[in-house]
Amino acid sequence: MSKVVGIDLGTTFSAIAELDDLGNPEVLADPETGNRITRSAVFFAKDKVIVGEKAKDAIVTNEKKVVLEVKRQMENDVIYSVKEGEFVDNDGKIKGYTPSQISSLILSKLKDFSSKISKAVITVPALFSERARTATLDAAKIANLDVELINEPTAAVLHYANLPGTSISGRVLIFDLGGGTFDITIAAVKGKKVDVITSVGDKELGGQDFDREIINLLASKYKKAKNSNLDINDKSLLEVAEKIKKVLSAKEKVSEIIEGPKGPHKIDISRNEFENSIDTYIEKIKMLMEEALERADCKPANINQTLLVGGSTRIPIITDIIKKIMKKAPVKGVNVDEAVACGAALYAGLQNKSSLNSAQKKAISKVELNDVCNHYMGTLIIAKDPEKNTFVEVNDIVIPRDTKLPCSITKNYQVLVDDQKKIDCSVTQSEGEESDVEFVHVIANEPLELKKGAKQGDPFKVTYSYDTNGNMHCVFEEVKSKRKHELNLKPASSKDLKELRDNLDFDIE
Amino acid sequence: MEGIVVWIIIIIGWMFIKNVFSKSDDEIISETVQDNPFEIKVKSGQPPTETGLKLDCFNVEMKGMVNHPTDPEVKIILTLQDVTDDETKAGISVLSAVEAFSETKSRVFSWYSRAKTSPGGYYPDWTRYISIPKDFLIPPHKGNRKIKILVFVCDIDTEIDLGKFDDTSKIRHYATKIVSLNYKEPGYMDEVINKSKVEDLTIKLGMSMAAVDGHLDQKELDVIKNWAKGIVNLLDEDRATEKKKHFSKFIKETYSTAKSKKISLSTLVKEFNEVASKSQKYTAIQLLLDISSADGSYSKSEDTFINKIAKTTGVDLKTFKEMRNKVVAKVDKLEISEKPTEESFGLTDDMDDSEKCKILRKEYTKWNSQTTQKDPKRKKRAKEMVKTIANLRKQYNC
Repeated sequence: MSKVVGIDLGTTFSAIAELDDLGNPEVLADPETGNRITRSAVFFAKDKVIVGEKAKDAIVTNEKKVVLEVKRQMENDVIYSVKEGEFVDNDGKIKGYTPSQISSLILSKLKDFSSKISKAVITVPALFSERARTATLDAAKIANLDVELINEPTAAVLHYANLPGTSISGRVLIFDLGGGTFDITIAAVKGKKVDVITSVGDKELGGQDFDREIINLLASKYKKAKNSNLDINDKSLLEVAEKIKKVLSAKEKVSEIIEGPKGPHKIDISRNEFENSIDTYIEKIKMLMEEALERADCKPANINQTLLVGGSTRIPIITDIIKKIMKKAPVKGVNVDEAVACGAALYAGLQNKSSLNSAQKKAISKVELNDVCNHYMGTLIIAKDPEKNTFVEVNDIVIPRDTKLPCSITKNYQVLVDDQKKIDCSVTQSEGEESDVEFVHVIANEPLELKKGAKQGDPFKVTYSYDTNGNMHCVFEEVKSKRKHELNLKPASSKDLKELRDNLDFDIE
Repeated sequence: MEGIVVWIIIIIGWMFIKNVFSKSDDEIISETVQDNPFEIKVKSGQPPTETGLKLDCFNVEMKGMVNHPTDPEVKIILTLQDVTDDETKAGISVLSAVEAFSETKSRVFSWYSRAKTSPGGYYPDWTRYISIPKDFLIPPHKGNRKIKILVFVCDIDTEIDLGKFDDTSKIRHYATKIVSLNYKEPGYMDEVINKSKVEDLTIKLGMSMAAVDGHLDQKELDVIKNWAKGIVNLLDEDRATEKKKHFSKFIKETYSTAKSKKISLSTLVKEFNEVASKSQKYTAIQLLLDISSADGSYSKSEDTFINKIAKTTGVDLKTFKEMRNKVVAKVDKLEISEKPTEESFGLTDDMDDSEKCKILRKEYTKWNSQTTQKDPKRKKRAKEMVKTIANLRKQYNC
């Protein structure tokens, strides 16, 4: 029987889960190492590619050939140059690998933990941009996976709500602090039914950022002692920093011998020093918690439980902050590294019931998920600015963020001048309720020719809708002539498979 | 803008709370017309309490005949005239700052509504018609103005354009009242009259801005020259030559004065405020922002200077902040991150810490979403701004 799987494609670690015969999600271990989570590291060895912990270990000998944190590059037009040992702008002249190609190697590795996969669900941060989502779908395409995407915190809450013997109910806050991204989702849970209310996040906040602050601390201490600079871009220091961070989650102080240009030096770092070094990130976390509560129109007292997801939630100051803001301790007891993959597996089952056996079908029969739109979706229009007394181009919101899906919203506009030839139909995306065109992402832009003789003030309709599969449709219509134009927004790659698979003929280990 | 629309709906919602009282007998009608002529009265004050709004308004009420001999409906049109020079003659049009209160094809202030009537329809008591927010009026000139409020009861198909009726025989009744208005901004005709002076003062402000960091950069000077060129290009050949000559001489002189630091900023701003309209103030601030970023960096001294001008010219700080953010997002180098001024984020002295924290959080959302911009400059800037905001919040114990 073919299988459906859920994949947590993380910044630092990835995991794959499938539903067991009884319909419970189960994380699959690497058959070679037995590890249930796989390091999201890729090493381009001479004639093969190595993915996982071994790839990270290769940093010591082959630093430039090891790629880390590819997830943070998913929305950028960059390639990884093995020669340079970093991501560089993709000008078409340099040889290298795109973030989609590198991610596909991680996916291929995970895919081998299972067999006969018919369908997969990959998780992405709630606020991942359209470009990053498309790149993730490309990665799946290269890895020969038929996939759908789900937001990471949504997957996590689905897992929490379906844990046997748990009493998750009412409004819950999912606090997802991983290696590279941070998401907060507030959802209403009733039995196995999950209604997402809102999601906020920061795509560049996670354990890796904390590691870099530790490296800065090490560098300043080394400089003070030896009057010499450590190379803070040395990837091997990341491993040391990660180790220090983990120890400081359990102990108040850690000592580490650091190799530098002027020889080894023993450096002590206290938990207090570490916490001070990440206080800007802590402030960001606080802001996002406040924002999530405000968006959900609730106070901490209205939140029944705070659910933790992601390895970075093991850091003591993180739980302290949650306690301080929410006035109660978060729920513990779930494997924070695996919750997202498990939730994704459940969602994969939910979306592909025909692939399940009767026990699996029964197990998820009561599972229900209702999501919301995570961005403001708008269009660019010309409007009068009453303050400046001029006509200006502004972004007008069509679907507000947190609108329950599926939905359909129509807004009416007018033709600007007599004999207007065309309308620029643009679809914008923004995290904030933004009217300023400089602060929104234009994700699609196509012209619509108007019927000859259009008059100023002629009505023009714009309809945005999300169908039950989460696909967005944007239709621009000249009302008088009934001319319509639907913009192609389907989050699919424009590239063909051959182009995507170009130069990726490797054995993967 | 949305707020204003809601507001208008509320204001007109109670317009016809009393039904028109009608009589069918011709004789009675004739007596009623004589006894109940159409009248208006205007009171200065807040709109009705049920609106929950606090805005200084002219509250217009009406009474008396609104009848029509044949039609079941009439159009009640309100227009305004500035009659400061001569109350006995037709005045000059008053413009509206808000589209909802203007004629369809122009910015001339106008408002109309439809009312059901009959051959003998009239309002026996004073009935609220409309509240006109004083801030929406733009008279021709600055200072104490006499504004004539005119309300016409007309045929339903009556049209009005630039304050003129398509057919005056369609007017069935009308009433007027003169009110006083102290308009502190330059009026729309002042804007035309003072145009050249404002342009010169804008250049002077630009030169002061360019010199604020101690030296006048050629790139900054080019921004000023291009701005002036933009004005010249809009003129006909003769006037363009004359204007070009003037700007060339004026820029040269101002350059020398600015270089020797002989421009008194307080006098300059005072003079500018005296003659510049709101839109001209925004134009000047945009020029200052363009100058500040001409060399690819936006320094603390430039930020302080522009914030000061924005504050002293009385422009809306939120709008200013949006304009400034666009510049900040694009420059190569930003030197305000260490100690950002409160104005940079729209924070004011009268706000308490919790308000400041909330505003900073909203700013965070705005800049945080830009940290994934494709343009590396904007991406870098956004990251700096996010860090600045997070650090600033620590100061306010958020």
